[in-house]
Amino acid sequence: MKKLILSALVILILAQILVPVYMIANKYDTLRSGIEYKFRVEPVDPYDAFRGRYLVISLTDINRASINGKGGAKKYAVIKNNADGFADIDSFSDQKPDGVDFVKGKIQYGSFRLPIDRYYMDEKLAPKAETIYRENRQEAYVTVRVKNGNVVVSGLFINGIAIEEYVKQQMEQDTASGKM
Amino acid sequence: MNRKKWLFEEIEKWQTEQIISSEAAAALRQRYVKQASPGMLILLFSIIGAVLIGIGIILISAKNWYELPIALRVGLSFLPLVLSQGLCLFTFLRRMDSPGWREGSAVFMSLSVFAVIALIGQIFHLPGDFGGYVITCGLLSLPVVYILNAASPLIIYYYAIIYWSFDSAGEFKIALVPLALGLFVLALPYATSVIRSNKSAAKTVYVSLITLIAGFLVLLAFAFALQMGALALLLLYFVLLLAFDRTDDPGKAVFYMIGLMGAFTLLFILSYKDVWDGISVSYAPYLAEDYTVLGIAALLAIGAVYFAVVRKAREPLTSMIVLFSILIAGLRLSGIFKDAPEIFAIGTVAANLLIFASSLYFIVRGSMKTSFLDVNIGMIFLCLLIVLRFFDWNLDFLLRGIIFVLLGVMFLAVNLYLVKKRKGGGLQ
Repeated sequence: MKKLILSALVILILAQILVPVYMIANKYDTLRSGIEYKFRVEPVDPYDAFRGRYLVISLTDINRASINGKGGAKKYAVIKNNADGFADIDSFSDQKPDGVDFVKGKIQYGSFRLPIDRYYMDEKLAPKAETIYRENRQEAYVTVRVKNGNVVVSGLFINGIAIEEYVKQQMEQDTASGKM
Repeated sequence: MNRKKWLFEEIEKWQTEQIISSEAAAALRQRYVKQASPGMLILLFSIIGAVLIGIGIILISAKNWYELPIALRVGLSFLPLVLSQGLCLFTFLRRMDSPGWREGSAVFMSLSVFAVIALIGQIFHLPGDFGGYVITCGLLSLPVVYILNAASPLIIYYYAIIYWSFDSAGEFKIALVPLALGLFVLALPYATSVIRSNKSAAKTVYVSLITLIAGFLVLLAFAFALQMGALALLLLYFVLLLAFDRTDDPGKAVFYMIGLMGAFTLLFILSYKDVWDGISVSYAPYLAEDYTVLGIAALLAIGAVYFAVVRKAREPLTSMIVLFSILIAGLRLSGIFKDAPEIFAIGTVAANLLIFASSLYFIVRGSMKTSFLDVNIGMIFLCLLIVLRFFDWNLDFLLRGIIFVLLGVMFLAVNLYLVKKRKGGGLQ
């Protein structure tokens, strides 16, 4: 009996390790070797007790694309770069497309949703980042890596500067000018 | 009765029967009191310590160490988990006899699972889906409850399924509703075994209390998701609890008291005409889902009847409320309300009569057993019923007047019956 329970404990330990490893596996690979795209976003700052502070990012161009189909249904979207260097959807498909870059997403409330809705940040930087964005409305975008339909966020940029750097610069400027 | 209480009563008997001297009795009492208190303290401190460390780790990881390379962050995120797993293995192999080690390492393992999954979500900026996150962590934590016979992580599991069921219900993911009940059932064998063995009063009360609250909340999530038939369903849940009419046993007393409070709260809600009017309104888009509710309600009803009849629960109240719940379900199923919504007036009257009859039942039972608790429960229900109906502006004055007169006459009739019975020697 003790052996049986011990094997149950070992199985549990393996499961507890394998589930997060599975979550990491394709994300890590996509991040390292996926093709990079830029999506325009609008960031807002909320809070998660477990995972920390983050910016809610709404993909402005993608979310506007309307699509027919049942809510929750899986869809593939072929993506391409526009003339301005930002990614957009070229076409939708029910089957995995071949030979082109595509992303997996779901239909929600009549539009296509990518599994990207937050960007985690340092707890002090996140609220500041939102204020800076709200007050100045600069161009914000996320860079994502795309591979075999998987998509992983690699960075968030404002005016072409990584948001962490941008916020730090702004905070230093504010300190220098005596705002803070 | 727990073992210590039993032992102390036995020592008392041995002393009066002069099997042991009063000094020996005192020494024995002291010995067991001394043994018990540090054990309890160590247990509590182990749980509190493990919970604080686990929460600390979650908060430290939530800080976001974005300056470190991703590979290092991923590696570090597994550190607390592996540490907790090592602790659990050690506990299993060497410290299974110590509740402090079992509870402490188990709760630490549960929280470490939450930490590692949270951290991976953070590192890779995974989408929100908090419901999915907590239920994944909850499911990965539950087995340790069984493996280490540790009750403390149970509350974390219940939190996960409650959050997940409300999350799913809020988004009308109807298909997930029966699954939520299934996940709740996964914890029941452990909860039942703790309550049955009743080795420690504190553990029994803790497990039964959180299990009951979790069960109630999961069913409440159903109610939100399915919109209909919910009251009948909840009522049956409480009726099931009423079958545990064992107020002398700490574990079962919890079941009974929550059942009583829940059943009567719902009966009072159902005693309003407005609520019945609400039930009679047709919710066409949800009719299909309604069968899920009714299916589960039917299962619960069978359970309630089983407890009330087969197990011969002492409580006739249970049978009355079961009948009433079946009446509600029957009226809903028959579809009569579509043509004649006024039929639901029967429901209002039935609920009021049921509360009235139950109040009387408690008063009578209490005075027969000289139980002030019963008499008081009965009086409180009765007074509440009178006050609520007096101020119920949905009923017209004439109707209210008639109800009050009828109730008064019934009251006097019961009184007369009691007096006659007492004179005849039927009552003591």
